[in-house]
Amino acid sequence: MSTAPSVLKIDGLTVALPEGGDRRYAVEAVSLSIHAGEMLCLVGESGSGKSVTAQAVIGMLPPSLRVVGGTLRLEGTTLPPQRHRAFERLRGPRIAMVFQDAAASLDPVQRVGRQIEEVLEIHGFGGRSARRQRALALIGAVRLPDPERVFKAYPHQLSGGQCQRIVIAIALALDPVLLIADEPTTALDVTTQAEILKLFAELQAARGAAALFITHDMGVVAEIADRVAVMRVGRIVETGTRDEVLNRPQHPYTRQLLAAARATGDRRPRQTSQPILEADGVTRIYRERSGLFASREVHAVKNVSLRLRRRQTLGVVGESGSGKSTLARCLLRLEPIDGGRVLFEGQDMTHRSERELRALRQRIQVVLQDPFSALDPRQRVGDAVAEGLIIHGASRSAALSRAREFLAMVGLSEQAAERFPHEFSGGQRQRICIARALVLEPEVLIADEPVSSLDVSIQAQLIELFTELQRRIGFAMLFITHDLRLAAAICDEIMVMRGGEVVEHGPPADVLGNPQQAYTQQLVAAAPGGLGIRDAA
Amino acid sequence: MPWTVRLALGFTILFVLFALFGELLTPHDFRSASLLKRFEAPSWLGGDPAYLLGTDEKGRDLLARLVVGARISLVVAIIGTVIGAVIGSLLGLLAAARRGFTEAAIMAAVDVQASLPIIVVALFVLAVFDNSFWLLLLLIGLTGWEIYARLVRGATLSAKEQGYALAIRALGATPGRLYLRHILPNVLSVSLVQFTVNLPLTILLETALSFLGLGVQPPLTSLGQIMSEGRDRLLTSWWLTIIPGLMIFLLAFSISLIGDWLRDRLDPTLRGAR
Amino acid sequence: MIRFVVLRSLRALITMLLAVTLVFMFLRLSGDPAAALAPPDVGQEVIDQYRAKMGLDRPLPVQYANYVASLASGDFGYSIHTGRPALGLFLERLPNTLVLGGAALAIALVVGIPIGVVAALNRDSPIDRGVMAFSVFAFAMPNFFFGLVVILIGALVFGIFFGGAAGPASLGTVLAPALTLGLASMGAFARFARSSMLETLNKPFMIAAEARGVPRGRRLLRHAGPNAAIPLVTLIGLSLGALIAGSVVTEQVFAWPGVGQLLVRSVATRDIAVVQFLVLAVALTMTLTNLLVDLLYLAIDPRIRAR
Repeated sequence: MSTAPSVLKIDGLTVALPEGGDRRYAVEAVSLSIHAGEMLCLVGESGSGKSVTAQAVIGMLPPSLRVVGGTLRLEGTTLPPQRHRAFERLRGPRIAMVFQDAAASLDPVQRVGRQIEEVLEIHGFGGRSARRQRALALIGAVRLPDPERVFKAYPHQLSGGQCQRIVIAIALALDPVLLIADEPTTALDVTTQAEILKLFAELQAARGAAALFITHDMGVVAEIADRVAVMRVGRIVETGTRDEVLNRPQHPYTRQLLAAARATGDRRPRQTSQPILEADGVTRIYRERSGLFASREVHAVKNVSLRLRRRQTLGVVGESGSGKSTLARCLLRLEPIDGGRVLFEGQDMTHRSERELRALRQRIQVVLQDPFSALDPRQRVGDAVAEGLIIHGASRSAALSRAREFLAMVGLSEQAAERFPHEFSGGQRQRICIARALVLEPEVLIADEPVSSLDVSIQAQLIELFTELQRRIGFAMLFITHDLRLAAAICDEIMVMRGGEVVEHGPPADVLGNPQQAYTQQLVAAAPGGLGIRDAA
Repeated sequence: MPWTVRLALGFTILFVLFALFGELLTPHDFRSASLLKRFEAPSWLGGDPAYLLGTDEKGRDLLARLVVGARISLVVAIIGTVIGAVIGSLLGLLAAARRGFTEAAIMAAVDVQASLPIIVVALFVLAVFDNSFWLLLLLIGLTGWEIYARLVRGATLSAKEQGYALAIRALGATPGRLYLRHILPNVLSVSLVQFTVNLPLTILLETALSFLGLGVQPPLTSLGQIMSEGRDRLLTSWWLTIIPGLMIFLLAFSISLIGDWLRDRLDPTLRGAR
Repeated sequence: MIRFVVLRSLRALITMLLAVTLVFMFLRLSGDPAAALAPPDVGQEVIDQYRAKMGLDRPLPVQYANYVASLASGDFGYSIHTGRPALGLFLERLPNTLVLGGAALAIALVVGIPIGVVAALNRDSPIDRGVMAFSVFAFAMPNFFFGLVVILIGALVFGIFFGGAAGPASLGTVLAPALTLGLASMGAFARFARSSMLETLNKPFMIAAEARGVPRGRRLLRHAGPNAAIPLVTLIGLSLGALIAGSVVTEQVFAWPGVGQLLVRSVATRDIAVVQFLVLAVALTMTLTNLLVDLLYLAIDPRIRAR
């Protein structure tokens, strides 16, 4: 393969950021090449410069970013300058791109079939009927059922995965020599993600196109890459074949990424203790109006029972829409319960009034997924952390000094208390949220996807913080996540949810190693890189 | 701050100073008529040097009248805007906080207001009741209340869904604490921006009503009323209409410019909002 | 979708009912509605007849029902001054107002939307800043002042007097008042078109279209245009209110014999029967337009249609 000519060859690409940024270059001295039929994965966290590299290749760098050095060659020919009109003839027939949010990258008021035809039309492919035939064939090629019907659909009538298939069909329409995919599966559910990855890799290989695949996920890399380039703050720190990078990583950063992806469930269940929070057949129904008078009932949570023991961690795993966040709100009694009971220390809390619940709230706390919206933007961080103590009767000065202690405990400086949330990064904000929850010294902490919006290296730090604080303070934790790997790493017990119901329940080793339900098997198999259990060894 | 906004701010401050202390510029009282001095041109156009901006049909000093007119127009606009902002914002907050029947009732009222331009409502009420300064103030206060109500309701509903509202409830906060301490301050920027959009509108409404002879009544005066009085002499004594007209326009223009700038500074995501 | 249409129509009906109720309440508070609505120059016995017919000796709910019933049967009362039915007076002047309003709307659309689009396509350029400044100017300009300036300039510079449109409306006489009336809407259209276009231009599908090699002209025409145009539909509803409000003043300035002038005169002379009818007519027009706009939105946006 190394003797084949490069389809894409990047030599010393350097892209300058506007003056006054946190660094001078978005991309610095990046060199890489991709051969026909080869899939190169460009891996890095957000802000590492991987998307900027892709934009440069397709000639669409924003005007604020300037190429200050290096060359870009497609099949030996130097590419036109950025945003040059000559690119219009390359985009489509020679280079095609697939974006992260497929639904948003389709025109919402045009039928998808028309959008496939359009790319054929502008690049002069055949006549009207030939284009239509080709479009239908492409819809079939990306394995969408009933191409005629899909052809006439609007994007909003298709699911995210189906939209991504259409976008892939458009990208393949003119058999380009280079395919660029920028995190094409990140916005999708795990199971859909696996299907799309497989489809993309197969079609790329079958057509012999070179592919530049951008991702932050080492699991995806393990799944599809031929070669890998790891980017960090604008530079490539390591390149190699998949086998080399995954199994013999040279750079410490690569090892860090891999470690985060490979964490495995080697925790032994701790001694059983008293249950502190129990759910007994909890049900939550949403009514959706469908007809004029008819309404449809949707079980967001259906007959869920669970038992959280003191000092233990129970993982709730499920894809988006599985009802896991609704379950969390029900347990917190922030959402009405339509059936079943919630018990705290054996006492029924289901019908307690808001007033009666208030005193109890300091004993059950919550950390939410999005640290950007979880803090009142107009409240100083110190006040935010102290507020719970003040609500429960502490004096302001005592509460503030306690808040400072806890901010220090989660790894923030003294001065943090005086600042506002927007001055902090996502990871730091999540630390503030953790401090706000733990300052009340709760016996139960419900963590709803607390790290999933953060970069992998930050995730690892926060997970460490959670486990350490749990050891020190001794709360029980209900840990909600869509990430099986993560749940396996830190939980004593795991519950898998789907469509509002619990489909599997047990210790991590059993659930992952020997899944009983078809759905769990699918989840385990779909997790990119196979949970580090069967990755590229 | 761009120079246009500086200029606008400068003019607004000048206008306020004029309305407050403008009497110092002229020896005449705004009511004292002098039949010998009717339609005197401004002194710089060859008129009587005692009248910097000339006189009206009753020989009253235009400058003195403009000071009082500016004062009344400004007071009516500011108080009117505050009334609308407070009523509308509180109703919007209440609708989002209570939901159910309260919300339906408030939103029905909003619908009714939205289907009746405020000037038509004002004209109807003025036809039915005797005109008084307080009634006028109240009517002008109704300007745009439904917009505040809509905006604040929307902002409150979305703030309620924010993580911080959930987290603060989970801390055990009472609804009063949640809405007044956390949500209200966060949705207030919406009202503040709308305030700067509404202030020019109330200025225009008051001056328009007064121009039609249905707003501020003599012996009080307002910029619109001065224009209305000078209107018949437009072609001969243009300063009687053009000077107050320019003052109204420049004030509304300046406040709009400041408002636009504030809006971009406070919340760039708000630009598409209705 | 049927559910949406039914609910939305119901809401319009409730709005209209509430408006009628409000008008009724104010009429009751105003003194003797029978004297206000009965033909003028009639004896006390006719007013008493009217009072009996309106049921003013009956409990309030019955009076209300009677009021609604008489509205429904097309009896809107009589003008105190001319003795003619309010409806007739309105219909007589309606064509003039429609001509003026239609011309103003046309000017506002034809100028406002293109300059807004041009501003969006040249974002942050002097053109953009100029258009934005114009839209603020148009928003802040009192129409009575602008109208007077137009009259003054017409008289002094061109020797034409715009201030008294005698005889039937013609293209020449309608231009000055239509420009005056349309100015505010023109600014609003420009601003709205600009922000709608800018928002669309930054959508991922526009970037994706560029990445497929779709040329700029086609991207703007085929993708940005239709998407940006959808929210513009709501402008029809918004501008109608501005046009109605503006016509009240503009007709007065230009002595335009339309409905707005009728309203101002009736208010000044306390011709309550005419005023109440005009208020209800405005409410009905606006409610129906807002309803139509929402339904139109439903018809053209495939995303909403699917609901």
